[in-house]
Amino acid sequence: MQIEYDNTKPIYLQIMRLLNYKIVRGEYKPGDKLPSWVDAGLMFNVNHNTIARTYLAMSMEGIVNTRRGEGTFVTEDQSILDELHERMKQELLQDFVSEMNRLGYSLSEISKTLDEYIDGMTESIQK
Amino acid sequence: MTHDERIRQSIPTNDADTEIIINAKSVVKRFGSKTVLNRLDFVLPKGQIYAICGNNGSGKSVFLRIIAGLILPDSGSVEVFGDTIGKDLEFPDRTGALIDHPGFLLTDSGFRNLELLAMISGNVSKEKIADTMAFVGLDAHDRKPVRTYSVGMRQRLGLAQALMEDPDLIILDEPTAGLDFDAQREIYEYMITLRKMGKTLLITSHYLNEVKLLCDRAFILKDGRLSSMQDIDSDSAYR
Repeated sequence: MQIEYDNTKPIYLQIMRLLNYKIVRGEYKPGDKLPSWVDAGLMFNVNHNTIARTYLAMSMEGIVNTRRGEGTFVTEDQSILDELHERMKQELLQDFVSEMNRLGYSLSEISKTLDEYIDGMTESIQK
Repeated sequence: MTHDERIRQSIPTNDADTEIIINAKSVVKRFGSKTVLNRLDFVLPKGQIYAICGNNGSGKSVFLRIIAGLILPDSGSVEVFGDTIGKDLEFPDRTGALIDHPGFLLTDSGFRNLELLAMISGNVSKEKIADTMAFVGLDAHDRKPVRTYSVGMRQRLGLAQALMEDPDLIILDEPTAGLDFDAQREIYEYMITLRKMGKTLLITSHYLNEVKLLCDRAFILKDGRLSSMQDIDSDSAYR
C-alpha cells in the first residue's frame, strides 16, 4: 500500500486513524486479529516500532487488546466501538465546518450549501 | 491538551542512557593499497536493531568480522560489552554471528551440525539446540542431510547456530539475501521477537524496505566511513 503521510502529524497517529476507519467500517470485526508488527509495518511501509506505538495508543483507548504472545485484537466491547464511530463522525464534521468557515462561509450558509448538495445528490440518484 | 497530545505524552520514549554494546573507535583496515575502513566510529546501544548498508565491496562484512573478532583492525579499537576485541578477549562474549554461509557438513542433519558446533563451545545442551531450531522453524528430529536443504532452510540453520548459545548481541550479515518473501517475513518476525526479548542486533542489508521496517537506525558505509541515514531513525523519523 502506497500511503502519503502528512508531515505535520505523527505517523503512528495517521496509521491509527486508518486502522480506526477499517474497524468502524467493519473491515476488521470485533475480536479480529490485527496484522502482526511485521505485516503491518510492511503494509504501511513503516518501522515495527511505529506499529507497536500505534497499537499501544489504540489499546490505551480500549479499541484493541494486546494478548501477550498472541497478537492484537479488536475489542468486542460494542460501546467502545460505537463511541469511536461517533467520535470519527464528529471529527469529520468539525473538519468540514471549520474548512468551510475558513473559506468564508457563515454557519447558516454552510448548512444551506450542504442541504443543497445532498438534495442534488438524491435527485441524481433517483433519476 | 488535545486528544493526540495526551496519547503522545503517555508513550515512553527510548532511554538515552542505555548501555553501549558495541563501541568502535577510529577503526582502520587496509587490504594492500585499498583502505576499506577509514577511521570509522560506531556505537550500538542495547536493545536496538541497527543496520549497515552499502554497496558490495564497501566493507560491511569486513567491519562485522572485526566486531566478531575474526580479523583484527590495523588500528583503532572495538569494544563489545566493554571488552576490547583482540586485547581483553579474542572473540566477543555473549555474541552470536551469522557471517557468510557457515561451513555446514552437507551429509549430516541440521541437528547433528549444530551439535558438532556446540561441542566446540561446550555449553549448549541438546534441548537448547532443539529449542533454537524450533524458534527458527526447523525440526530437530528431521534426519535429512543439510545437502537437501533449501536456501531458506540453510539460512534458518545458520540463524540457529548464531542463536543457540543465547547471545545478547546478534550479528547477521545480509540475513535475508536470496530468500523468498515469506521466508524474509519470518526472519523479520524472529528479529523483532529477539529485540522484544531485549537482544541487540546488528545487520547488514541491501533492502531499503527491510531496513525501514526493522531498524532503529541505519548507516551507509561509503569510502570507509559511516554516515547516518536520516530517514531511518525510529526516534524521530517515524513518530
